[in-house]
Amino acid sequence: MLKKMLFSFIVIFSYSVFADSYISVFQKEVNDVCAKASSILIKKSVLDILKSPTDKSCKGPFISNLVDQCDAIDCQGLLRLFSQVKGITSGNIVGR
Amino acid sequence: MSKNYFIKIFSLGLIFSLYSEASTSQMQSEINDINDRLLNLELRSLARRLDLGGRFHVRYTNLKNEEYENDTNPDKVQNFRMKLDLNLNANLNSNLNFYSTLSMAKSFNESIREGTPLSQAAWRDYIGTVSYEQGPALWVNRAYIDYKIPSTDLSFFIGRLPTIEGPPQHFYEQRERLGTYPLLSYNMILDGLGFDYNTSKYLPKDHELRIRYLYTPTGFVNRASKNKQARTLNPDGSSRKLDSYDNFSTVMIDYKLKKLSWMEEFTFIYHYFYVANQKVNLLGFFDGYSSLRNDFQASSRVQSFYFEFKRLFNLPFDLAIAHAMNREKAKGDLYYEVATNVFSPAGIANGRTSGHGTLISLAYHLPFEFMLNPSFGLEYFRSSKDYLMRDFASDDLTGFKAQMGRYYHVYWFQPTPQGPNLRLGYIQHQRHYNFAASGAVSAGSQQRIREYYVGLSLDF
Repeated sequence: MLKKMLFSFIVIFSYSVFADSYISVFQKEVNDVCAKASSILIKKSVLDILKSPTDKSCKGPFISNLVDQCDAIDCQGLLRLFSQVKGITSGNIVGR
Repeated sequence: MSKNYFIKIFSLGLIFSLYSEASTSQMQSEINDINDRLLNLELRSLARRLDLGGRFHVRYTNLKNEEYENDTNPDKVQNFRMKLDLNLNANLNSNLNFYSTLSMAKSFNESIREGTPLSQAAWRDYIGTVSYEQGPALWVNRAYIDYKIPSTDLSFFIGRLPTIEGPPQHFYEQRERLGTYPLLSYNMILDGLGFDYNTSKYLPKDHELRIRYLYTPTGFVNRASKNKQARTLNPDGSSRKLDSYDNFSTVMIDYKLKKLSWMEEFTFIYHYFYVANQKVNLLGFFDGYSSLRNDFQASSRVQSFYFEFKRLFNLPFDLAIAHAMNREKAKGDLYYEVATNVFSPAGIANGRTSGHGTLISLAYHLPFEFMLNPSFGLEYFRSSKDYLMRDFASDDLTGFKAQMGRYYHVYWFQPTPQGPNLRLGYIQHQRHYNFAASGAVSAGSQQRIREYYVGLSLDF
């Protein structure tokens, strides 16, 4: 149990070290539409997306859990939101 | 209490403390191990500051070009081409980012070529790889610093800027906005600097308004002697110095409104640019400017309006409407040697011209999850005589949005499970006018081009 908690902390911390990356922006955007989604669940959902970038059906264990928890957003909406956030931090628009 | 009782208690205490010590020691060892692994992860994360990603796409095009009505011998062109974009971005701190894209774009196995490649043109800087004529070499299509000035809402940026593939090109493959400038305004790569001011804090929630100024001057370089101005020749053959840069400035208003009750997102972009007294012909039909006698000057103003409606009326479709208006002014001429020491003007059209173009783009996202939500798209474009659009990065083979005429485009975008995405499309273009070599617009054209294409794309 302690190992699991500490490992989760490792994962969260390593992503936090990436400064104001798209992950923190994505977390904020998801919480805007789904306040009850926990930070850990959102970040693990990002892991699911990153592990299977071509998967469009939210099959990952955590992202499917997030979709189930949030009434305001479905799988495609969540993936679109992720894509939008990545777009904001892509440098395609100057000054963003 | 008996002595045995105390011995038992003592022994139990000793055993318990020894066991506890062993457990504590083991736990401490595990914690140290986890700390060490955490530190390694953190170090690797910090050391690897670059965020690497990109896109690869391949397209087959089959095109039929009827130069005039009832053309009995139309040109039939087949083309396989590919493009690779490698994005290397670095988020150095919460205020400072660096963005770059290395690109390669080419046709398959190009053996024989007619005409001069754009890569050798005087304005090759504006092209990068996007003309698909640069061969397998990697070119830098983007490289700029983006710095948010601390404690302000102002950002400063400088470098090779993301001025191509702007909206609504992102519609075609369900992507987010790909470039800063709306597509109809300008579709070439520009180097420059500028400021972006975010006024959103003065607006209600979910409103975002940015005002941008960009300075992307046209440069005239003396490659023979870098500490001297470039020179050209007056009509009488005397030398004339050129200023190092001509003013080329852009002002933009970029507005976004999210989470409306009847639409997911609304975007409005106003874009205005002014190119002053350009000393090269904007059409770039010649090279070797320094040895060409001329008194030519041209300037251009373009303004465009772009409206985008995402998930309009909460239905699964996106709509974009863009309108661009250009005003060109030209005076002077080029003088070619027609006999020894006899120069004759080329006959470049002088005076003022103005034109406009309108693009409507619609993407419908089919709500079929079992098919991975493909998109069906429609586009219609119409432009007037004297419409002028700088475009070297067009998505299609011919660059229809830069022509004077009418164009229709239908496409189907199909995501695949675990694989590259597929896009099929058909374009029909009717050209109403052509540019002549002098820059003037020739009267009437019945040219019709039909283009079928199949493309595969992969984002990584």
